[in-house]
Amino acid sequence: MARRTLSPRAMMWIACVALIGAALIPMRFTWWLSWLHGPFQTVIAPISAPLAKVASWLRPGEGNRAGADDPAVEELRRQVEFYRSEYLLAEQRMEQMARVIEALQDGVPFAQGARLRRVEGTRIGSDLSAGTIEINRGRTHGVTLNTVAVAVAAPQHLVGIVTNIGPMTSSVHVLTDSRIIPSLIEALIVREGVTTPGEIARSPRCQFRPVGDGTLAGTLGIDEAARVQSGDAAFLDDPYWPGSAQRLVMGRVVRIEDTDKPLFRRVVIRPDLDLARVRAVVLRISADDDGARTGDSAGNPGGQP
Amino acid sequence: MNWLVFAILSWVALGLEQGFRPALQVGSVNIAPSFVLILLVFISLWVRASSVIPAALILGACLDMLNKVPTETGESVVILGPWALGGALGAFLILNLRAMVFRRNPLTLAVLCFIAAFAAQVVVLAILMFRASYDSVSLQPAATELTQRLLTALYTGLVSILIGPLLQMAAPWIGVRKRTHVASVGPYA
Repeated sequence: MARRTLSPRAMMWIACVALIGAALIPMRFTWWLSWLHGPFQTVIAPISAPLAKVASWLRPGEGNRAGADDPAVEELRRQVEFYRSEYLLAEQRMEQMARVIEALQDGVPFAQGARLRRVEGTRIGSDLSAGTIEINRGRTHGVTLNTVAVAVAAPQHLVGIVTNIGPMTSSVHVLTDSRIIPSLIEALIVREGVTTPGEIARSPRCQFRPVGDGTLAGTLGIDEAARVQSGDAAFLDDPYWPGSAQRLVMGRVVRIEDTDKPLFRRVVIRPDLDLARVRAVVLRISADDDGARTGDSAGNPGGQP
Repeated sequence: MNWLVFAILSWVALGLEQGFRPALQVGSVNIAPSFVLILLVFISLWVRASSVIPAALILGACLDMLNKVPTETGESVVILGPWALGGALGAFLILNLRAMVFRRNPLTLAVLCFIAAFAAQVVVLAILMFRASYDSVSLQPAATELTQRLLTALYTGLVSILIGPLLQMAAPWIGVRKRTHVASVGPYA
């Protein structure tokens, strides 16, 4: 009996129909396809990683930060940024500890915060359509969803958050992409030289939204906007972001604009780095960050490092 | 077509797409050339018609694997299909146009790259927009997406002027036809 085989044309039509189905089926049925992304990245990495290095060399993400001053000044600036960010974080933790003490006095059991582990990863590529950068560190290196990424060149500068993990690679959604979730990111705008807890507490708070052109913008009342000037640093202070991202630098104020509403001003900040082109990042892995940028029901931040 | 050479060229093109594309990005917006689409158009222009659509489906599926889609939950996911179908449509357009053009002219590749890339981008955007109506796909406003995709297609066409001669050098290994005979000028020849 002759065996019937499908003609190439019929197979092509079947493939097209299957792809139409796959393209339109709701995500709850096709979520498993994301598993294939990691192994696929691993196959591409041997060629994309060297090309990403060449691309970084041609157009460095750290370009607008490094090179402006000599290395010694740059190192000092990095140290100032580090201690400033750590100081602000310490202030925030002291506030939280005071709340923990109150909770303990009310009989709430004490939960030890998770330790923070830092893993360095190199950028092996970018997915411009998704607003992510691909990093050569994945599940096998302990990376979890919502792990926070900071720049190697500026360890206190937030780059983004992990939104997809493969066995050997992961995707970091950069802070400046307009589709990052949550799209409103609260920050504390701290003027240069402000050091006392009272001054920090009185610093303007602003909810920034990525614009899509590499900047983030938010609105402030005119009184608060009057206390902001170009060059002021914006530190993330948002309970919906992981604890390991708190008080990291989001960028600096580049301009303050008038809006249609006379009582409000638009504040625009720009990261110190071109986040989509950084050569390498440090992933701040914390067990508490696994699971969400949601905070707790009381609106308290996630786990603190 | 030599499928082994096709696989190697696809691997290089996907590496360029993933690793080198940000170097050519316009500012911070999503406008950058697609190396995979240039390879797809080159193959559609030169290779035997029976191999073109399968090659387009394979390259498109690879692009689907590479280009994740952000969702409203904050995760980015793989959606198989949009680029595969868009690539197949682009290749089909080239198959119908290739009998009417001077294939060796570098500008031919550029113009066809623009046409195929824009057709593919429209298909991808249409599918994602449709999905967004019932799924948690996160997209920018339609006008922004369409403008960016149109400019990406234009940029892809411009870059193909530089890539075209390199692909021509690899042509003997991929199995392109040396001459176009009178009997084979039809779109499905």
